[in-house]
Amino acid sequence: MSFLDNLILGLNVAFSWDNLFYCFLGVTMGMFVGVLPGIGGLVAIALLLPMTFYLDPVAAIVMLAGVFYGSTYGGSIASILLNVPGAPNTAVTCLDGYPMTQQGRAGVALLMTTVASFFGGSVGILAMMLFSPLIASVALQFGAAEYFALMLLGLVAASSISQGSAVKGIAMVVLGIIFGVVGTDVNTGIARFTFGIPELYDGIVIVAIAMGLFGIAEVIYSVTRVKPGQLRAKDITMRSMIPTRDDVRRSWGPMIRGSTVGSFFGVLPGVGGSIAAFMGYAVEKRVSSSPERFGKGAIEGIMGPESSNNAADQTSFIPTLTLGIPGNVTMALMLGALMIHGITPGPNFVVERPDMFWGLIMSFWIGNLILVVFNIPLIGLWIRVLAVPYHMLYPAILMFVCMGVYAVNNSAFDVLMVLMFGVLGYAMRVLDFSPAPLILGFVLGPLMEENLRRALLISRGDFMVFLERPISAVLVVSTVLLVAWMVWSDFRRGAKLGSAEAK
Amino acid sequence: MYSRDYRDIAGGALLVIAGLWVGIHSMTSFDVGQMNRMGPGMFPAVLGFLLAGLGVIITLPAFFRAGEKIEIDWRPLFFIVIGVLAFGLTVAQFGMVPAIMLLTVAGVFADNKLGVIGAFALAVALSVIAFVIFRLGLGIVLEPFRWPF
Repeated sequence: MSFLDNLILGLNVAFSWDNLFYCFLGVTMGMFVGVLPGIGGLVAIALLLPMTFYLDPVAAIVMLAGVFYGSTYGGSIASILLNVPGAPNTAVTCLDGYPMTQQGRAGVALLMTTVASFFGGSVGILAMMLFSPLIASVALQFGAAEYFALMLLGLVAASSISQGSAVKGIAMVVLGIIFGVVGTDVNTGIARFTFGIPELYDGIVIVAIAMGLFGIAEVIYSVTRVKPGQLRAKDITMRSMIPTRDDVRRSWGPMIRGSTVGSFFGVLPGVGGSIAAFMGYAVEKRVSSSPERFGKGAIEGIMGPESSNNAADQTSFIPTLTLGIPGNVTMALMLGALMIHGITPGPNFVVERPDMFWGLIMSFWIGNLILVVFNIPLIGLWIRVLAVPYHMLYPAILMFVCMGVYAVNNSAFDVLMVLMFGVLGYAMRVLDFSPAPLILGFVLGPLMEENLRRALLISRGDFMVFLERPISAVLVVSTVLLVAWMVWSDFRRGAKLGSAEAK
Repeated sequence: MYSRDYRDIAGGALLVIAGLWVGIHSMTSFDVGQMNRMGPGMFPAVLGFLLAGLGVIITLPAFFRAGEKIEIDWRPLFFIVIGVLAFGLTVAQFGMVPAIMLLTVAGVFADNKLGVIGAFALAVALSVIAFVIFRLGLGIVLEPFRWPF
C-alpha cells in the first residue's frame, strides 16, 4: 500500500464517530487532569486502563493517547498561573511562565504555549509518519537475540537516565521482571510463584500494579503535601491573549528548535517529555543573545520547552509501536493496554494493522486540533478547575482506583492486590525507589524471558549468539558501556558526598 | 540527619531478603534446566540472586555516609489502607454503594479536612458518579446494593 492509501485509511478510521468521540473524551480528560496539580497524565491513564477493556482496541488506544498528550497541554496552564507544574513535563514552563503571569501577561503566555504545543505536536507526528515505517522495516530482520538485547538496553537506559541512583533503578527493573514471572510458565505450563491462588495463574494484572504504585501510593504520599495554589490571574480575557509583534517574532526560532530537540529525545528510551523540555529550555538559553532575560518572563523560555515536550510525547510512540519496546512508563501502560486486547506491537504491527497504526496517527492530528480549538475559549473554565481542593479530589481518585480494578474481572482479590502494591509503592517512595522502572520491567519481563530462552535454544546454550550477530552485538556493547558509565558516575557522586561530609 | 543512611540500608536489606527468597525458591521448587533448554526456574533464579546482589551494592556504601530521616505519613497510610481493605472485603457481598461509602468515609479521615457531614456528602456523590460511569456509561454489571443473608 502506498503512503497516500495509508493516510486515507487512517483518516477513515480516525473520523469514525466512535473514534472521534473517544479522541475528544481522551484529550478533554487529559487536559482536565493536566490542569489539576497532584494528578498527571500517568495517574489518569492508570485509572482509565480498566475502562478501556470494554472498548474496541482502536478506540481504547486513541483515548489513552489523547489523555497522554492532552495532559501535557493542560499541565502548562497550572505551571503558568500557579507556578505549580500540573504535569511533570511542564515543570520548566514555570521558570518563565509564572513571571509572565506576575507581569500581567498570563493571557499571552497561555495562548502562545498552546501554539507552541500544537507546533511541537505536529512536528512530532510528522516525524512519526516518516520514520515509523522505516524503523519497522529494519526491525523485521530482528531475531530473538536482537530483541533480547534491545529490551536489555531499553531497560538499562530507562532505569539509569531517569532521576536518582542508577543501581536503585536497575534493582526496581529486576523486581518488576520478577513480578512479571508470576503465573503459568508458557513453555512448560508450570505455575510459578502463585502459592496455589487461582487468581494468580494468569499472572498479576497490570492494572493492579499500575494503580497501586501510581494511584494509591501517590495519594498516601500527597495527602499531607499538596497545598492549594494561589491564583494570581482571576480573569483572563480574549483581548489579553493577543501577543505583541515582538512576541511572535521571538517565538519562531524556539518553536522550530524545541520541536526538533523534542522529537529526537522522545525516541530515546527512558527520556520522555520532562528531559526533552529541560533540553529545549537549555538550548534556548544557550543560543539566546540575551540569556539574562530567562527566568524573568522571556517568551522563548516557554516556547522552547512547550514545543519540545509535545513533540517528545508524539515521537515516544515510535519505539513503542514499531519495536514493541516502550521507552517510558506511560508507553509501557499503553503497550499493556494493547496486549490485553491481544495486539502485540512490533514491526509486524505497522504492516498487519495499518488501520490501527495510521488511524492512531490521524487521531493525533484531530486530538491536537481539538486541544487548540477548545483550549483557548475554555481557559476560563480550566482556571476554575484549578480551584478544586485536593482533599475532595483524593477520595474520588481512591474510588476510581477501587471501582476500576474491581470492574476488570469482578474480582475482590484484585482490589487486595492493588492495596498490596499501593503499600509497596508507598514504601518505595519513602525509601527513595522510583516506581517507573518497576512497571517497565513488569511489562517487558515476560517478553525478555521468552526471547532469551528462544535465542539460547537456537544457539544450543551458547551465549556468544548475542555477540556474533552484528545488531545484537552493538546493542549489548552499548548496554555494557552504559552500565560502566553509570557505575562510574554513581561512584563519583558517592565520593563527592563522602568528601563533603568529611569537611 | 543521621550518621548513616538508614534509608538505603533498609531498602537494600529488604531487596537482599526478597532476592534471596526468590532465588532459593526458584532453585528448589522449579526445574532449573540447562542453558540450551532452560527450565521454568532458571530465569527467576538468576533474577533473584541479581536482585540480592544489587541490594548489597545499595546497602554497603550507605553505612559510610550520612542520611536523611525516614518520614512516614502514618495517618494517611493507616486510613487509606483501612478504606481500600473495607472496599475489597464488602464490594462482592454488599454491592458497590456500601463499599464506596466505607472507602470514602475512611479515606476522608486521612487528612480530616471535610468533617463527618462533608465525608458523607462526598460518599453519596461519589456513589452516584460511580453508578453513572460504570453502570450506565460502560454497561458493567455491578449491583449498587446486595444483601447476602
